[in-house]
Amino acid sequence: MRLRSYDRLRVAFSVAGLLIAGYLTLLHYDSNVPLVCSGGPLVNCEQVLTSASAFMLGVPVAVWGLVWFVVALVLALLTSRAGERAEPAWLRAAGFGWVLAGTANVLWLVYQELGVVGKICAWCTAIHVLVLALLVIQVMSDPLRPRAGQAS
Amino acid sequence: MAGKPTDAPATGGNAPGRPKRMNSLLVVVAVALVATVAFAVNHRRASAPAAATAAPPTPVPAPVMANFTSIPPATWEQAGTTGATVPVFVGAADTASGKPEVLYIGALYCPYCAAARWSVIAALSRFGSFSGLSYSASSSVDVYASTPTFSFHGGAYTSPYIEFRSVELQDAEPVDGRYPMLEAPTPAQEALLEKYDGPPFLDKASAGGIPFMLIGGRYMWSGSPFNPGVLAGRTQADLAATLPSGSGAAAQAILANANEITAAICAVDGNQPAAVCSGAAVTKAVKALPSKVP
Repeated sequence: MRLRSYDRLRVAFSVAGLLIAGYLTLLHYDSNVPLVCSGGPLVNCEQVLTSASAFMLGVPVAVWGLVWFVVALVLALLTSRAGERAEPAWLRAAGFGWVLAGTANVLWLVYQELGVVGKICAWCTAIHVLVLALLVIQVMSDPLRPRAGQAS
Repeated sequence: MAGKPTDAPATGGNAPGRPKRMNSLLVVVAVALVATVAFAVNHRRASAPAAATAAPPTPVPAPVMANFTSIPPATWEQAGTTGATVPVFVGAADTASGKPEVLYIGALYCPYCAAARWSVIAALSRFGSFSGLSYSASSSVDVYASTPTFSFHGGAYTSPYIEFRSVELQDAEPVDGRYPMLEAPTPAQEALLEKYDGPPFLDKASAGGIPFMLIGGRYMWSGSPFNPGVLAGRTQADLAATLPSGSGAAAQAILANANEITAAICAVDGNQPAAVCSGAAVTKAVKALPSKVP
């Protein structure tokens, strides 16, 4: 896969995550927004989203997710602008740091869903998949990206 | 570092060293994910029997209860009312027992009842005093899981103005998939529930909901007074401590709903005590009370 394709995927996944996190944030603050999700014995979004695990430091996890994807999108756009030119070292480090922080959070939230609440939220799982996919994109595209300081 | 500097997009093969390290990172994340899932499922299984075992009720410490009785008038005024929890007018007041009756029917598993109890305790503490209440939380396997609250089961209430009757129908945690029965309503209470908790007072979809509250046989509430989510992840002591200042979304929701309940009580007990019933927020809420059967 070419570098540009990775960059486009990164932007697309960040936008998708932003939309889902935005929807979950709306759900938290507006009771008129309908929850589109099954309420089965294993997949039950309402039970997960209304549990204490849906809050971190008193703020809904969805809001943290929204913030995370906004930053991820900004980083993706900046990287995309660099294109096939050398990417600044800080941008590379920020990209990796951000996606690793997101991955650590995904692991924590998966534990909360399965270990504490005992239910899975389909929308949250979609977000987790997007974060992990962004990690994979970051890793896979890294060898293709010229380093700052290298000949260009 | 191995790998040739290039001004063109490289292929995966011309940066040896880095890909291996990067691939190792993906393997580590994959292993961590599998380990997290395994640990979580195992943890859930291990903790399930403990959750099913009913713990003895913990009495509410006096300092926590004191937060309900030390809410200053300024905080009550600031909380006002939301207008979203105006009761339904169901008929003429029932004063057969001499003092108007406040009837509450709920269940410990129910998260909406968990929210309602906060407002009931705050409002009724303006007319009398509770004793023997215990800590409780809504079901850990339902929506708004483990919403912190109190239990009326085993508690008592005394007031010179009103009678308070509570029925906690079922326990908080399921046993063999069902919530154990806790208290049974009297035939008269059951008749009130059947008569008012449905059409024409409520739409068909809301019929039979709890919490059910009936004040003086005149004003009725059914269902959640506010979003129980505002109480999530907090302890009773922590939440109660915010009541005197009215700070935070939880305290605002609790006190605004308590003002509505207070207004309904004032409307059926002859506006006693005057210190409570003459407050601006309560007076305004009394005026907003409905006077016709829907």
